[in-house]
Amino acid sequence: MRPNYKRIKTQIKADETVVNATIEKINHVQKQKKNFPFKQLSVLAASVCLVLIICFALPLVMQISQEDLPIGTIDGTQGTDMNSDPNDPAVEDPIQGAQSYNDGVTISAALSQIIAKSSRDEQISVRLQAIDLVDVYASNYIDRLYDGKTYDEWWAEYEVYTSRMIEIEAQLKLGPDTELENEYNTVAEKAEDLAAYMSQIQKKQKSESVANELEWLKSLGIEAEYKGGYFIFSASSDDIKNISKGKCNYFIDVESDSKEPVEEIH
Amino acid sequence: MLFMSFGADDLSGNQLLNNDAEYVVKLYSDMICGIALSYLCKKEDAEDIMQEVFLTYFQKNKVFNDENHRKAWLIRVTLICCKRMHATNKKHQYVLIDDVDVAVQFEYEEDKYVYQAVLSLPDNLKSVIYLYYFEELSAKEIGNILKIRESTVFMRLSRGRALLKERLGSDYDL
Repeated sequence: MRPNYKRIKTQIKADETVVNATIEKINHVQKQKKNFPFKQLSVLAASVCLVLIICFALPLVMQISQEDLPIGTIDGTQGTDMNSDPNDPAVEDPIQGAQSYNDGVTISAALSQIIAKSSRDEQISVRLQAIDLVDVYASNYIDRLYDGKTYDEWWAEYEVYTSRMIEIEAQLKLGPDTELENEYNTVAEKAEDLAAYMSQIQKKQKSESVANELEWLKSLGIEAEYKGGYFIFSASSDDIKNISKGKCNYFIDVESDSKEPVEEIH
Repeated sequence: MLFMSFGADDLSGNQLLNNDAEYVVKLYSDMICGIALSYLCKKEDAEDIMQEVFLTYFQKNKVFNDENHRKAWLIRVTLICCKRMHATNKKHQYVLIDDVDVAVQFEYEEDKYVYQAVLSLPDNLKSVIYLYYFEELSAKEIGNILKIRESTVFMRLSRGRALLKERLGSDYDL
């Protein structure tokens, strides 16, 4: 027998009391917004004042802080990469508060704050995300053969089966048909075998990509481990600022305060 | 950003879609609750998620091209909220299938059996299976929501079906 997904779905219902309470809550919030424009005006006025204060006060504070530093000292706003001009300020990343000391490497606002406060020798636990890790290395694998075929060729074969599966599913929605169902099972089994095989290939490719990035980080003096989609390591503030990108762009964040892995939503 | 938020309530971002609170909530509450329940397996948590999603929806005042666009956005936000709750609530580290019995009263035993089998799948397979079979979304739509390739959707469907076959037994054609 085929599972009746449609029937199952119709039995999953939100509690009416909760639904009505939600509607009431939304209406209440929307009504409050309409009735209190003054609140928004106050927020606007306060924000404008804050911006003005920052605009006028910050240069003053920076001037004072720079005068206290002896010549040659690297301050938190300057890049420390050997190859970059030490007079170039760190690029303010569009991601609010994030910093960038080297091209292609972004440091989160939270980590930047910790770096600014930490001592030279203090080890900071961080996690580094290599952006588009697999895609960047894709050119390495494009011509590689797996049991006589490239990945794209295996994929093309897989698509033949999945397309047929979709066609049959559409036909079966009109009504049961034993012959079609048997064909579907055969095709699905082949597709599953291919999917499992391609999954193994992808894992191997990713593993290679990860190894390459680990080697790169090692060349920078960083011993990292790859866990949960991130390269995890501890390093001093200077080491972190000195990180230049490998083949991928990097986003570096504090390990403990970071959000959940961003690879994909399940 | 400040100037956009001030007075934005006067503008409905969705001129062509019905954006009335009662309409939107009643239209999508079952869907959101169903997705959240499949992820968290606890009715109270699913209901909390439902409220959070709708409040977010009405606060963001996002512009949608059409109803499918709105639906996709709601599903995505639901999954994000579920994942956040799932991560912070260690009680739900393991699927609590038994709690589902309380949340959903199935008329047919076989429906309960299938539903529990789907819920017992690994999260990455479960979401694809659920959206494909229960919400009847296409692989392309699922890929757009989950930000994964269509090929990955198909692969997870294949693997999910294989696992379901294992768990449900040969009586079921998947």
